[in-house]
Parts: sequence; structure tokens; C-alpha cells
Amino acid sequence: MDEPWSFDYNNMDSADVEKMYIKAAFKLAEEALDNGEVPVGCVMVFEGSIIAESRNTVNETKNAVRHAEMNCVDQVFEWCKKHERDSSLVFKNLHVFVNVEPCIMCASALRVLDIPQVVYGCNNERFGGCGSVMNIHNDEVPGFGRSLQVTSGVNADDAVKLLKLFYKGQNPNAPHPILKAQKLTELNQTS
Amino acid sequence: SKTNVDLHISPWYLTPVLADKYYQHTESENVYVAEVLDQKMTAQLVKTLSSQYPLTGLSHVKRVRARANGKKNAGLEIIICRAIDVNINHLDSSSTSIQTEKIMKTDVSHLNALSEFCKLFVVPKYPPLTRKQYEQSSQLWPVQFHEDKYIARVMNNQVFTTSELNFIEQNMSLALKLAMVSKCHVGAVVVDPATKTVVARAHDFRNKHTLQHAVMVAIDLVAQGQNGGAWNRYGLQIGPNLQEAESLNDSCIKRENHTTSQSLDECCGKDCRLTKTSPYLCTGYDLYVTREPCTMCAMALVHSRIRRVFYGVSTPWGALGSRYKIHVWEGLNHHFEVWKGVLEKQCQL
Ligand SMILES: [Zn+2]
Ligand SMILES: [Zn+2]
Repeated sequence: MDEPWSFDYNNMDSADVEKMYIKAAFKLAEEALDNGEVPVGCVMVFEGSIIAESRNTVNETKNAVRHAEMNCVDQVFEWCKKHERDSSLVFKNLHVFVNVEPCIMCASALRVLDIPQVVYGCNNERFGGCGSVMNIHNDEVPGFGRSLQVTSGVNADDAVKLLKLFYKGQNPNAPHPILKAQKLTELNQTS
Repeated sequence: SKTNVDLHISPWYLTPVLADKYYQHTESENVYVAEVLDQKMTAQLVKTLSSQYPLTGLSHVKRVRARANGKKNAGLEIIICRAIDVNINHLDSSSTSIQTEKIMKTDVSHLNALSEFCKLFVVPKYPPLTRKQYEQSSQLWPVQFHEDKYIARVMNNQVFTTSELNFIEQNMSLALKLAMVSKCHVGAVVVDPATKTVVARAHDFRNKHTLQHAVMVAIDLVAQGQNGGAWNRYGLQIGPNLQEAESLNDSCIKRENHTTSQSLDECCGKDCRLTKTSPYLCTGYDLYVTREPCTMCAMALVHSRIRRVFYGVSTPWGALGSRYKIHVWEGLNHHFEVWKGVLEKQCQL
């Protein structure tokens, strides 16, 4: 018999696996929040293991495109280089877990890379590219790969709570309280 | 550091890429119109009708007009209500003629001032945004028109002076040169129009990294110029390639450190709120890119708060005019201007 606290990947149903990875993404999102970033975290899974995990680093990099998903994509490229794997094949079989709906840019990136599916927590009303603002996930666009399969609403309440915490600026762990207010106004628009 | 590009310049035409609403044909909506038999009652009728049947959403439409049958003093016509309002009153909103008293819930003097029947008319559904739309709308029914002077100038190609057009061409020439050294044939530069300086020069690396489109590279180079950036830290292909490209062609790609951040580092201690004075993302900057950006790049430009985008040639997948118009997408919180056609022929690489 398996001990209840040990993960037996083979004995978990797919919903449990999804929740497990979404939780991993959520942990990264909390880390983002602790660093004054919009709380979005992402993990990318290939052949049953996490090969990329990152969070939003927009403020840190002064680059508004450094969303969790984009950072993860770079990690996947590095992983492929290290393990001498064909990145295009890896992306074709990659599973993406993120606590918030990918934005229009990130959804486009997932399509460009021909990533088959994404699982996420809550909707992204400001920038969502998987139905909230645009339908990048399944619109037909020349040059895009297959349409992106979307599973939404996994642990959505937690994701919403975390975002609300950010937008209210109630994160006690944020390192620079003076900068925080300024970042909040910036990121209200950036997320 | 500016490279003089020896290009055979063929004529090019700058075209604005505006939201569809500026080009749309006038849409119409049905209303019921009665003749005003007693013109002394007109003001009274307008007052009563605007409380009884406010023209919700049709505030640009004038309530009363002179009858349009070519004759002078042919009388007045007045809009009683929108056809939808009749529908709400459980009458048939598609009938072309309806008894006025069936719609009007008011005293006899009002009814006597109006024709017995009112007829179905079409009026422009939306306020005209351009002179052309105004002219089209006016053929249906008189409307108010508040011309947006800037949009009028944009549509009539009156925004840029000759020297500004030369500057635009000069920047695109630089982007074009970068495109030529790129294996993927796309080049981009970011320009600060206030100081007329190039902030970042980039070209495409998508052959090595699927997402390193020229625009994405340019955005990261701007960040690097602000002491940020990501692709420099990740040590991905962008670094080595930059040098490679530079050795191929004298300084064809290079980030240019923002002078302010350097001097602030020197003169101010850590307490200095340098973030307040240093540039924020691409705010106030213009991008020049040889071909129309994809959806990823277009949204990256929204996130980066770009001011204007100029591109050379359209692409079928393009998100700034062809497949989408992300720069004017309703529901997004930042919009920017887009102009296409700069060095269009040369940019068809
Ligand atoms: Zn994103
Ligand atoms: Zn692109």
C-alpha cells in the first residue's frame, strides 16, 4: 500500500495531477507577490516531470513581457540544450500549468511554439488570450500551430484571492513599501 | 554611430492603420417619424417626446428635420420613437406605417399637431466619426457631427512634416539594414522621438529561439538599456549573436544605454528615487519594424506602452492591421498609433 503522503504519479487521476502542478505554479505566484510582482507562476511539464518553473519578473527585468510563461519557455530552451533534445518536439508534447489565464501575448507564444494544452486557474479579465479578451487559443491565424486546448478554473478561487491581494497592495512581505504604491499603479496596467 | 544606408529608395506611402470604426459604412436603425402639422407645437412636441421616448443611443440624431422633398417650406418631420420602443409596447415594429395615437400616450393637442400615421424611417445608428461618414449619415437623416481634428489630419495624411517623414525613413532604413544581416530578414529599432535618438537596434533570431522575434529582442534591449533585461541574464543566443552580427556589420545591433540612468548612478546615492525620472518600459518611444508584427509581438508592445509603431510591409498573420488590430482592441487598456508602408518595397525581404 502506498503511504498517503507520498506522491504516486501513476495512481493519481488526471485531475489530481493537474491540481498538483497548479499548486506548484501557485507557489511561484506567491513568490512573485513577495517580490512585488504580479502574482503569476507557471510550470511546464514534459514526460511527467517539471522541466521549467518560473514566475512574473516584469519589475525585476524592467521588461513588460517577462511573464511567467515567457520565462518558462526560455528555461525549456535551456533544458533542451542541456539534454540535447529537439526543442520543437519537446514543445509539441509539453503541458503548461499557470495560475492565471495566459495573456494575449503568452497565448500567442504557446500557439507559435505548437504547445498542445494549458491548464490554468482564474480568468485574466484585463489581458486574457484564451477567451477573456481575445480567443488566441483557437482563432485561426496563419503560422500558428494546432489550437490550444484549454482547461480553466483549477483552484480558481485561490488564484483570484492572490490577485486581489496584489491589487489591494496588502502583501506584508513586499520588500520595498515605498516603491510598492508606484508599482501598483504601473502594474495595474501591466499584469 | 548612425549608419548611412545606401539603399535605392523607391517611393513609399505612409498609411495610418486606424480602428475599423473610422472606415465603416453607416449602419442604420429604424425609427417612426410623423409629420408636424402644427409647427407652433414643435418645441412642445420635442419636449414631450424626449421624456416619453428618449432617443437612447441616438443622441447624435436630430429629432426634427425639414421635409426632404426638395420643396421649400414643405413642413417638418419629427421622430416619435425608435422602432424598438414600439416593440416594447407590443405593437408590430416592422410595419411601415402605424397610427400615431397608438404610440403616443399624451393629450389631444399633441395628437392634433401630428399626422395620423407615422412611418418607418432609417437613421444612422452611430455618430459619424469622419467627414465621409458624416456625409453618408446626412443622406439618411440630419445628425450632429463633432469632427475629431486629429483623426481628420491622420486620414488626410497631414500629420507629418517633410523633415519628420525623412526621419521616419531614416529610422526604417536602419531597421532594414538590420533585417538584411538577419537570417530571418526582420529588423527593428526603437527610437525616442523626443531626443531623436535610437534606443535599441535589433533583428530577428527566431531561427535559433522561436520567440526571439525582432520586436521581442528590441523590447529586451530597451530593458537592458534601463539596467534590466532578461535575455542577457539567461545567456541565451541573443548575446553571442549580437557580437556575431556586429562583427558582420559595423555596430548594426546594439543597445544604447540611456544616459540618464548612468549619470544618476554616479551622482545619486541609493536613496535617490531614480525610478521616477528614469524611463519606464517603452513609454514615449516609437518602434520601427520592417514587417507587421505577429500577435505575440503586438501584445508585447501593448504591455510595453509603446507610443507609435511604423512598419514596412503587411503580413497575413499581422496583428496591427491584417489579422487583428490589437493596437486599438477594445478592452485593452493601452492603445497606440500604427502607420504602415514605410519603405514598403524594400521591406519585402
Ligand atoms: Zn502573458
Ligand atoms: Zn512576432
